[in-house]
Amino acid sequence: MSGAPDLLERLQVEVERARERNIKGWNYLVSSGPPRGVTPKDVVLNRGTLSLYHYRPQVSEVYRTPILFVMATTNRGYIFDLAPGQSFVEFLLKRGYDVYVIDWNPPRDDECRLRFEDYVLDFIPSCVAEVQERSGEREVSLVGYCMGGVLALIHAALHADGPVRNLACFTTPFDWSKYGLFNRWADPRHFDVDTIVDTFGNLPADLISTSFEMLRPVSKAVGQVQVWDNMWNDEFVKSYRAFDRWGAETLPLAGEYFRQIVKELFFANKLYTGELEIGGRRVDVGAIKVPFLHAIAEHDHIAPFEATRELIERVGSTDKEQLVLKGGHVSLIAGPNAVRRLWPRLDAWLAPRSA
Amino acid sequence: MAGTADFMQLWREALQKWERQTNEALNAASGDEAFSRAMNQSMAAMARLQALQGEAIERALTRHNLPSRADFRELGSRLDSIEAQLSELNRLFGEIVSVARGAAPPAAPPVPRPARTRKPPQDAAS
Repeated sequence: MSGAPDLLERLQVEVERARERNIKGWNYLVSSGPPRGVTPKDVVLNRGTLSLYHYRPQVSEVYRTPILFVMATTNRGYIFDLAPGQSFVEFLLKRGYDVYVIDWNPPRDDECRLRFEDYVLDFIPSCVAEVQERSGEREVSLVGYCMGGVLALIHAALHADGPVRNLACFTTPFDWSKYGLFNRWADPRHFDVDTIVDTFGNLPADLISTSFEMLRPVSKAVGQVQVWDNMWNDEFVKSYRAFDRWGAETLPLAGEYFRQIVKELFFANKLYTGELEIGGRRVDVGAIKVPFLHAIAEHDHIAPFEATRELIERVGSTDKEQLVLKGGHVSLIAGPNAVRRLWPRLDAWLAPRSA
Repeated sequence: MAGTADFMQLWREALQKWERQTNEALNAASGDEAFSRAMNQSMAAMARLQALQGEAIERALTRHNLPSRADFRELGSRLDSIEAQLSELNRLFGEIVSVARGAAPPAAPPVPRPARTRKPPQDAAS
C-alpha cells in the first residue's frame, strides 16, 4: 500500500536530477574536461614517435626492479595515468615501484617506414638501456598493453637471455585468426593494404577509430544519452569524459608497421604459427622463460577473448599465470573495475618478483 | 510497487537492451562478405582519389614554383636532424666549459632516488 508515496519520492528524485542535468549540462558543454596525465614525471627519451617517461617516486623505499610499460601503438599512454585517484601509475608508485612508461607520439610523415623491427629491436631496447642506466639495475619488468603487449612479447622472445626479469601482458592478441569482424573486414581477397599504405603513408587515425567504432556501431550514441541521464552524477561524468577523450585521441599507425600487422598477423597469423620473423630471427614465444602474467578481459571487443586466451599455453615459462577478469578492453586497465581487480592483482604478482 | 513506478529505470534497461540488440544486428550485417567487399572497394576508391588529388596539386604547385608537402616534409626531417645535432653540441659545449673551469659537468635536474630495498608485505612482516 506504499505505492503512492514511493511514486512521489521517485518523481521528486527525477525532478531534482532533471534540474541538476540542466545546470551541470551547461558546465559540461563549456568546460574542457578534467586534466589527465598529471602524476609528476620526467621525459627521459624523446625520439620521433617514441617518448619515455620516468615517473617520480612517491615513497622513500622502492622495489629493486623497475617497471617499464609499453603502451599500445594506437592510443596515448595517459590511460595509465587518467586522473588523480584513477591512475594506475600513481597506484604503483604508492605501492613502491619505480615506473617508466613508453608512450607513442603520432608518427611523422618520414616515420611511415617504421617496422616491427624498429619497435622491437630499437625502441624498446633503447628504453630498457635508459631504464638500466637511470635505475642502476640490470633487470626490468616489462608490462605491455594490447599491441604494446605484442611488442613486449616479441622483444622478450628475441631477448630470452635478458634483461627482462618479469613479463606481464594485458589483453594481448596471439591467435589473430580469432579476431571475428576484423578478420572479415581484413579479408585478403578484398582488403588492399598496399594501396592504403602506399597512398596514405601512415594509416590515418580516423580509419582506425572508425573501425573500432564499427565494432559497436550504436554504443557511442548510447553513451551520449547515458551521460545526459547521469549528468547529475559528477563522478560518472568525470570518468566518462576522461575515457571519451582518450578514445577520441587515436593515433595514426606507421605505414610499414601497419602493412606488417595486416599481412603477417591478420592474413598469415604468423605469431601464432611460429613463422613470424623479425630482423631475420624467428619469434618463438616458447623461448620466453621468465615469470609471465597475462590478464585478459571476458568481454573484450577489441582484442577478443578467443584471440588472447591461448598465449599462456605457448609461453615457455614455468612460472606463468592467466587472469581472466570481468570487463572490457579498456575497463580492464582503467576505471573502477581496474582499481578493484587488475591493479591489486598485478601488485600481488609483481611484488615478490621485484625485490 | 516501487519497481513498477520506476519508469526511468525501465527506460534505462530498454536502452541497454536496444544497444545490445542493435549492435548485434549491425555486426551480423557487416560480417558478411558483400559488406567487406563493398567497404574495401570504397576505401580503395577513396585512396585512389586522394592520390590523384595529391598528384594534381603537386603539378599545380610545381607550375607556380611553390614548395609541395613533400618538400616541407624533407625540410622538416632535415631540421629535426639539425636540431638533434645542435642539442648534442650544446651538451658537449656545456661539458667542455665546465671542465675548462675546473668544475664538474652540470648535473641533471634532481630526481628523488629512493633506496631500492623494498620487500613484499609478507617478507616485511616476517
